[in-house]
Amino acid sequence: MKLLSRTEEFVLLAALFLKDEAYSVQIRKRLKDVTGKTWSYGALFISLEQLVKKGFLTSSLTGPLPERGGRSKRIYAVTPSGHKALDDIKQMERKMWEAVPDTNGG
Amino acid sequence: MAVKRRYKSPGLARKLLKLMSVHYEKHSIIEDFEETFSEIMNSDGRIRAMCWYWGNALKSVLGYLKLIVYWRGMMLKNHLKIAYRNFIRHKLYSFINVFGLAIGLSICMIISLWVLRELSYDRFHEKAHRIYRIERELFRDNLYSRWPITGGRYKQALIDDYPEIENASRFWRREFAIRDHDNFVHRQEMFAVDNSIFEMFDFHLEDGDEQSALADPMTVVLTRENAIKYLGIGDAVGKSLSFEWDGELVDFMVTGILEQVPENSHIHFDMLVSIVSYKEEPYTDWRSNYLYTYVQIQENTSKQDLEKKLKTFVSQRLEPEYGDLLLQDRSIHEVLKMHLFPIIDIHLHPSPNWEVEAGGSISSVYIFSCIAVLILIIACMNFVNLSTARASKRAKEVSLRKTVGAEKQQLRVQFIQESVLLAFASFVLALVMSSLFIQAYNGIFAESLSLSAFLQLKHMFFLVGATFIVGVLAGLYPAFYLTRFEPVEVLKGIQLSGSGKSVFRRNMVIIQFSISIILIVGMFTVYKQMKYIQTRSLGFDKENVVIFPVRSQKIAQNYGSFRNKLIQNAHIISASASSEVPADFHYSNTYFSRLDSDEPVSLYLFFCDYDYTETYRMEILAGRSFSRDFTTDTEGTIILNESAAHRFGWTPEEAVGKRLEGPYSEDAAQVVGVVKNFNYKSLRREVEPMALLLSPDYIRAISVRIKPSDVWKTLSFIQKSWETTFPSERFEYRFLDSRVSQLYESEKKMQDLFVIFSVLSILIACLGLLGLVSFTAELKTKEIGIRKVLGASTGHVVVLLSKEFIKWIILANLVAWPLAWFMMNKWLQNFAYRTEIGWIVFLLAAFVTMAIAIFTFIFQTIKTACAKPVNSLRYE
Repeated sequence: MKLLSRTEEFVLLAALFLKDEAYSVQIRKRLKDVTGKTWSYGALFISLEQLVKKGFLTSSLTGPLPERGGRSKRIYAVTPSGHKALDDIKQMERKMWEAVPDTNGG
Repeated sequence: MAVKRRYKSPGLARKLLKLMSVHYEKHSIIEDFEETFSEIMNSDGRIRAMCWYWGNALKSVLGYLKLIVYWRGMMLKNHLKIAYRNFIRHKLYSFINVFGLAIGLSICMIISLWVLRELSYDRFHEKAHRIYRIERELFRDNLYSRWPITGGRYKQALIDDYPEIENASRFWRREFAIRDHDNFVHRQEMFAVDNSIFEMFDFHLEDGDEQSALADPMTVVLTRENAIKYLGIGDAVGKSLSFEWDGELVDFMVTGILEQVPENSHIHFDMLVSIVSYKEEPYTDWRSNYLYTYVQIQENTSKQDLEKKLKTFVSQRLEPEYGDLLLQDRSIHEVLKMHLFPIIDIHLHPSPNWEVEAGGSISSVYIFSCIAVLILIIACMNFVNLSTARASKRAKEVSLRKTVGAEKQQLRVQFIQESVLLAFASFVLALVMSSLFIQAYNGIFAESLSLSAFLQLKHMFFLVGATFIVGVLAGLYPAFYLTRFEPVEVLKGIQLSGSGKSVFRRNMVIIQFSISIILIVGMFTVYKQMKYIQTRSLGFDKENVVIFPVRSQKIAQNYGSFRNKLIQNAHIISASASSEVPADFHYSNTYFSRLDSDEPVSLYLFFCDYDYTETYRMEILAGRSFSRDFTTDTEGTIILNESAAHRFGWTPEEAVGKRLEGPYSEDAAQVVGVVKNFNYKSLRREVEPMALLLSPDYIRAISVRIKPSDVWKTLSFIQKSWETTFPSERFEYRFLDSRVSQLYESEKKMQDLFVIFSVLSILIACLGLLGLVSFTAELKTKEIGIRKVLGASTGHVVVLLSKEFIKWIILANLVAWPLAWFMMNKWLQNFAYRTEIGWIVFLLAAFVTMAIAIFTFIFQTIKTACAKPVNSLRYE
């Protein structure tokens, strides 16, 4: 099984965190809040597209929204296989970390 | 969420973004950017937000461009490679394609060069659009005639009466005998002009003062060439030249050296004298017409307004002297109209009478433009036809491209690109061919067209543009046709339906051949008319007559003794002298009237000596010719032609013995005979009333009828007699038949061009047919193989293959005939004396096309039909 990349992992996690509010602007904001870096939309969209293609995310259009000037937005939701991929990577990471007790090199 | 205010992003940047993000809908990118923009606005302020938004927009543009350039470049490279491979693989088709189009294009180039030249006449004058020639239209004898000539008084009167007329000048055609530095006498044609021509026209002096060169009497300007001829030196300003002027020798002062008059001028001259050399107007009345008057009008004056005002000129100045025209209770404005004729139109709309030079014709400009377009159409159709036929060969390529993701749009672009590429290859070839053709053309027709006209940016742009359009149009049909293919079917190997007999292609072959047939009918008709002109009885015998121009008064005085010497020679049948000879361009006319009527009839006048009708073998219908045996035949005695007798209201028999009142004798002139109408002008025109007037003194040419045997001996005898009688005069001669054929030079040229064009168009059409037939044959290789296995003979197969094409060509004939008949009938209307088109011409055209086409496809099909069936069945 292919592992998720760090970016994909973060994007998935952000989408999971945001639940119903998981659309590009909010995802980007969340990523910025956590990592402290500005993400370009280009990078974000490529990841989103990849994740949708792999079946970890689904996307759907909402109805027209007044705060977007009457336009809709594309909401992303994590699929069960997305959940599973996250679980897998989390476990793997935990295993890796457990094998190394002290990160301070002491 | 903080402040919920929305801001609008900069419109231009938004549009850019929208344009660049091809998939923006998928992610609703624009909306996302909008939202983020508002947020940055709320947190960091306007400037940051703007910077961010614009930064993103520009970044996207850069990325997009990079993408496009890269991939387009890659695709172009691939397309070029494929185009090249296709070109090489199908050498014959490619050659036919490129070569056919190149011929078409180069014909178009040459014709457009010619048309451009024709249209450029007189436009080199800076004030060309304000210069007009004064012309009049006269209603007389129930028809309007155009008079480009006026009297000498018009100029000053017009300037005095109309402030709108800024300047005016006159050209009076004159001929003088000039003595050169070796004491030889030459007859030189020139114009007597006003000095204002240098202000109005862009005729210039190489040397000398344009302000005053011809302002004084007895001044002359001439070209360097003429200066060398007459004075022995080129820098002749200040020298004097002796003219024979009213029988006396008069010295003229050379005041300038003329620049060569441009070829595209309606008037040419290599010598000018000042018109003020004539101390008084030679004709002071308003009815004598002998010179051309040109006026230059003010910048903002309209031609129509001024023409309206000229009505007062007509009624005040001309009416009193044109009283006789008013016989039928008409107002003067109904019978006499004054026009301003733009000089830029003179060349293509020359007056049938008294025009300065022979000029061109607007109808030949139209005809040749049509031919150019027709030939280009044939060539383009070829191109389309062959590309389409070849297209099915490329169905596999298209299908494969589609399978790996090519969009229809991309494929279309590919095919159009390819055809534009081929079109430009043809264009280059056409340029090379034109430069060769044009030399041949100039050689044959003694013209001086040059490709350098295309060097002008505007013309180059037009040519390249036209080639591009031809390429796109030719690529359009194959592009759409090909991209229709369903990849699955093609790749499965299903035969393309109808690829051998597409309706579209059939129609194109029919149109191509129709055009060729029209051109062939045109060629035969022009040929027939020429033949008709050459063999039609002109009313005089043009063979075996030699004409000697008379250049000075001296010859006229000694003509009698010269004639006596000649008629003693057994090879000389008769000799006569005259002012005019048949087949000339200019004749003068005057009015005569019956004694019992005031209505004058305009007659062209031939002043001639005895023996004139005998020398030309004209037929006398009634009465007799001039004769030395009748003492009553004095100067001024008249022989009318048939139409003149008719115009006076007489039958030929009635006319004999009648008297006419005219300006040439004190007493009324007696009519002694009526001569059968003879065509002294071109057969384009009806024979107009004319009269032979006995006048032994006014001699401009000596005509001698000789026996057809030992012509050169006779000529050398005449030369010897000439040299002993007129030791200081140059001996020159021309045969009458060559003068006559000169009258029909433009028709001859038309004939030659028609031959060339129809041959070329047939060639192009056949190239196309060859391509199509060989393609069809190839498609049917399998079928033919099977038929042969089952026992069909080669002949059978050939018939099978040709049947359809023959049907097409018959159809093309049916389409072309009525069109060709209509067009050629129209052309024949130009001639007063014309041949019938005749059904033979059509059958001939049908036969020619059929023969050529059959030859073409027999050549091609025999190859296929003869092939061994084993080979053809193994094919594919």
